[in-house]
Amino acid sequence: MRRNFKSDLKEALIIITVVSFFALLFNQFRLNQLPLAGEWLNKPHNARLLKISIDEVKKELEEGKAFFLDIRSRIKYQEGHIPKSFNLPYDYFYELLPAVKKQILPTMRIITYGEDNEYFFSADSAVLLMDAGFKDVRVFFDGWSQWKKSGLPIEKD
Amino acid sequence: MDGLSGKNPVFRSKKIDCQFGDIMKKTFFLNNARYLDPLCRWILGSIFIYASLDKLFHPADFAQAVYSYQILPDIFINIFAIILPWIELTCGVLLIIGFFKKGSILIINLLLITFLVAMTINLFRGLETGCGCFDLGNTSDRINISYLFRDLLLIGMGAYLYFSNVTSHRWRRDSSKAPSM
Repeated sequence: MRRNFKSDLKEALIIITVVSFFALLFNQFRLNQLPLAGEWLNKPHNARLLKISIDEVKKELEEGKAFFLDIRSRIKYQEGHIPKSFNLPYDYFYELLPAVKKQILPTMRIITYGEDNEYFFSADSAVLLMDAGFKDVRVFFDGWSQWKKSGLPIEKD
Repeated sequence: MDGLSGKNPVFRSKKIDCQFGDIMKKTFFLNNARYLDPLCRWILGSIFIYASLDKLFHPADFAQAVYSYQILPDIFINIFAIILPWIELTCGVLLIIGFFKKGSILIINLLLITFLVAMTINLFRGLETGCGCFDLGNTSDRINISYLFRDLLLIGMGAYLYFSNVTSHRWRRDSSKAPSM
């Protein structure tokens, strides 16, 4: 139907080359410069490796050594949560972190959880906690929804 | 001449062509191409310019959004986050002014298809990450099936622009080759 796909491709390549060059150049001189690589490689994690299953969570709860961190909103937390968990809403992570930090003993394993469809946020919270110096952090990916479905004990505030 | 056209096969075929052309002209897309083409260019161009702005000002947030898709290898995330917003902005502007139009629309289509594939993969994985499409600060803006339809609509627009041959703008370089509308 159309002419010359080659010449269009050439145009596209010219645009990509020129723009990439200037974008990288601009990045070198801007204030909030982004390092070309390394930031993601240096992170001490890959969130998927921190995954913990519901059985393990159950075991941790029974042993009572873990610190459960609910990253959902305050209202959802009050409606029901895993027993003995603390609420640290993702949206106020940095504001509330100092208060929560005081509750955590250095030997404790931290388990973050949220809704199952929000597990990026619990994973991200885990990563931020690792950045804040905590070593043993895990993510309960299936989260609150799975916990509730399984008929496991619930605590309400 | 009309009398001849019935007997002479050459004239007859011309007549048929003419009728066929009339029918084609009456079809919506061809008839309205001179309005539809700039309209689509403006819409798509504006969307891409708007989408690029937040990413340009907050490259780290955008890198985080790219990371959350968990598709690109770590080493490419930052480079992608640095370059992509500029490509979006440039293609948006080029599309609107009509300079390097076919090249920019080709890139835009390629990007839209890439976004579509990335979102589809993550929806299948059940990984409802932040979209990272327009507003990076809005963490509740998660990908869902409606985003795929939005993307498909834009791809339709992009495909139409790529295959349309309207020559109404001054930057067109090969206007002599273009068919008249």
